[in-house]
Amino acid sequence: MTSPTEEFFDDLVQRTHIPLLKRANGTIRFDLMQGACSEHWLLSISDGDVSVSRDMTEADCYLRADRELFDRIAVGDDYVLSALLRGVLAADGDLELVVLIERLLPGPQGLGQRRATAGIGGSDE
Amino acid sequence: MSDDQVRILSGNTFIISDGRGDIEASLTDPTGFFSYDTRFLSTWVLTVDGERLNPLSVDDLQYYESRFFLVPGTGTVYVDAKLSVIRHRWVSLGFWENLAVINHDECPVDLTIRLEAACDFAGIFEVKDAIPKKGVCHAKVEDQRLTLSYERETYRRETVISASAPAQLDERGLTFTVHLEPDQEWATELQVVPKLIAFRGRALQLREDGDPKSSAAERRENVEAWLRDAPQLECGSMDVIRTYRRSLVDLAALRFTPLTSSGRSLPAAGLPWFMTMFGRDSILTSLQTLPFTPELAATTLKELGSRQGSRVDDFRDEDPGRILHEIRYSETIAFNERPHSPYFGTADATPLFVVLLDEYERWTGDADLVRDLEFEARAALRWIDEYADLMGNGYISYQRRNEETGLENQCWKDSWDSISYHDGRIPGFPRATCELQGYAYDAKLRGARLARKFWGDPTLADKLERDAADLKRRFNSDFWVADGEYFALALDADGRQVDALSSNIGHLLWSGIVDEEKADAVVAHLLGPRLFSGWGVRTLAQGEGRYNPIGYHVGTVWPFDCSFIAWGLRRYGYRDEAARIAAGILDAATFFEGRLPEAFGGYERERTKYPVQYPTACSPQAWSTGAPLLLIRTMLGLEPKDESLAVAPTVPATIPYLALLDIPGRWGRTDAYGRARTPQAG
Repeated sequence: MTSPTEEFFDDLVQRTHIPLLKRANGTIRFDLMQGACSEHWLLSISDGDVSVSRDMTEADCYLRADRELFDRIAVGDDYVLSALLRGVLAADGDLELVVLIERLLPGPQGLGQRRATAGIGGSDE
Repeated sequence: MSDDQVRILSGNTFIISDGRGDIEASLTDPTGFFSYDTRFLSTWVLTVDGERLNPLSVDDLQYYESRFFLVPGTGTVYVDAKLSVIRHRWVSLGFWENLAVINHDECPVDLTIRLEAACDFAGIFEVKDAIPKKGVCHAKVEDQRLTLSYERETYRRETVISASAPAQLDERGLTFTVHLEPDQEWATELQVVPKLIAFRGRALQLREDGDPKSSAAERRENVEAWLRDAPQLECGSMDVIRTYRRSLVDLAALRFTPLTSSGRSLPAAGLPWFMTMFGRDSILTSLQTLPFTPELAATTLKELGSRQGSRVDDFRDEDPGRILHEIRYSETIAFNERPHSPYFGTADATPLFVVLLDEYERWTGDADLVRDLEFEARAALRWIDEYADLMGNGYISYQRRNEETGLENQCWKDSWDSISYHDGRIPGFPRATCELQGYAYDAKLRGARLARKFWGDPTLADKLERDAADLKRRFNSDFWVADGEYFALALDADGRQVDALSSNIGHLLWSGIVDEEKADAVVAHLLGPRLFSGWGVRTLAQGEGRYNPIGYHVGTVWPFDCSFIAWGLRRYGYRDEAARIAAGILDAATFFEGRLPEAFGGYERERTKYPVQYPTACSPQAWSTGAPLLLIRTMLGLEPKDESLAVAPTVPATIPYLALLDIPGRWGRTDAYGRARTPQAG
């Protein structure tokens, strides 16, 4: 079974254009830690076109947290702002990207429900 | 709240002290030094030789600085005036205090000057609701700094206090031993810096604010530039000019710069409790101030759009497309004990977001923003139909899903008893209040204009217009209280009318949902003896079961409410009636030195002769501050028409003339003039 984090990035890989990110440009790197190891996801956004890689390159924005915490944030058991205020998540650089990314997370009811409720007319897909 | 409180602020960082500059707060007392919804000082008491000081005067120089002139000794008829103590304080990301002591005696003196400091690190909700703390406080002295701190698991906050002059520091404050020759002055600069300790002990920088210690001079220049940039008002009434200027300065003070807005500002809701981003308050204030400071609207739209709801989350009452209600940064948010990260429980901010976007474009011609926010505006329009229709009857209604910490009433009248039947009973949930339907109607029509003109989607535009027409038809039948000739306050869960007569019917005029043939009757109520007090329109009419002239939403007069009602009256062509309300509210403002409170009593004007301030009202409050501006727009009849500004003044007799110069908009800058209507004979 895939984790919510993997589900989130797998979904992003499959979507090439995300209207919600239309105004966004830049790269955001997720450094997710599991014990001594950490995994990296690099999300590149260009006028709403997105691509995902596992590169450990420099980015405009960094988000650092335990993988387990990010799983909980992905399903809506916790929130980016709450975690930031508690000191268990770091966000550096262009924080507007973080605010936008949070809106792509699946939430309590998963991605299927989000798909069904994408924007009016011009769809989310 | 006592009258001698002194408040200064910068964004969401503020200090509320007594007239001496001292702070002595208990857990539930709303004084202290606050930043990011958290108290960073609860004790800050100055003594000289163990004696408290006595205030001679306070200069409220600007909203971000104050100066206290003090002498030793309290409680006696005579004060020992051989020493002067001056505290000059200003606030930015932290606060700075220049403390000066001057010896006026002929002999030298040796003094012990002491500042007692302590902090409970209470969050804003803890102060409001008296929630006990769950973490532990510490104090330590290190490197000539006193650090007060609070820790709960990984959550840590610190207050770091230091002084420029040599001091003995201990865990409860700072002591200065001072020798002063005759006429000699001693001074030190105290610095108090709040710290949000984040990931791995680093300080969390939530806001880009340039130099954390931007000087008082820079601040002053910033406010002066703000005033210069706003239209200039010339007017036959000095009172109105004073109110206008007060409003602009207060708006400057209420500017809030979120972390992600590249330094741009939007209006926070009010001091002291509401210095944060609110969907409803930020949008309505942006609407009021559009002809004066349109950049507030642009930031409001961008910031609320960036944080639009994207999923169904019961804890935050979030839905896809929903515009947020409130963001907070205190401990209870960090631990998800409160849902304001952000919280989405509001039923009006979402349609109002579309209304503001359209109105903003009509004024400024900023089509880029309309295109940039297409996704968000479409999602907001979809929310109205897909998520807000809780009863399946085609109306927006609300009922919280977070039953523990969510908001029960998700309309602007959000107190527990604000929505009632004529006989005083309170309906259950969901509730479909009438003004929400007006906002939805307006949002659909404005959304249609945006879809046709900017999004290249005439199909959506047609659909929205059909839906709006259908909504208007149904609304005028379902909400119309035929025997009273007004619109019901709400529909209850069974679709029955909640039949109280309220000020909400004025908002319906603003939205345009009222059938022309019903407008006369609605206006007669708004200006009639049950609703109109002589100053403004009561939130609930006299004779209703729950009417109380000093009940928060059940009889008081709200200046912001009246400003939108006046706008609505203009929309339907009732120009004299709009001017009457404008005159009443502006007259009331003169009793508050130009700063309108959140609400005042609904007593007859004839009876009290002055407006009775509502006891716990918060002030300055953004939408009260915006009310005079919208009233000026209303009196001058300002309306963007294609590429120019139409002016159709109807100025009340109390204001001989009104000239607004350099009004910004898609036309560049332009002027508008109006003369008072000639008083009618007899």
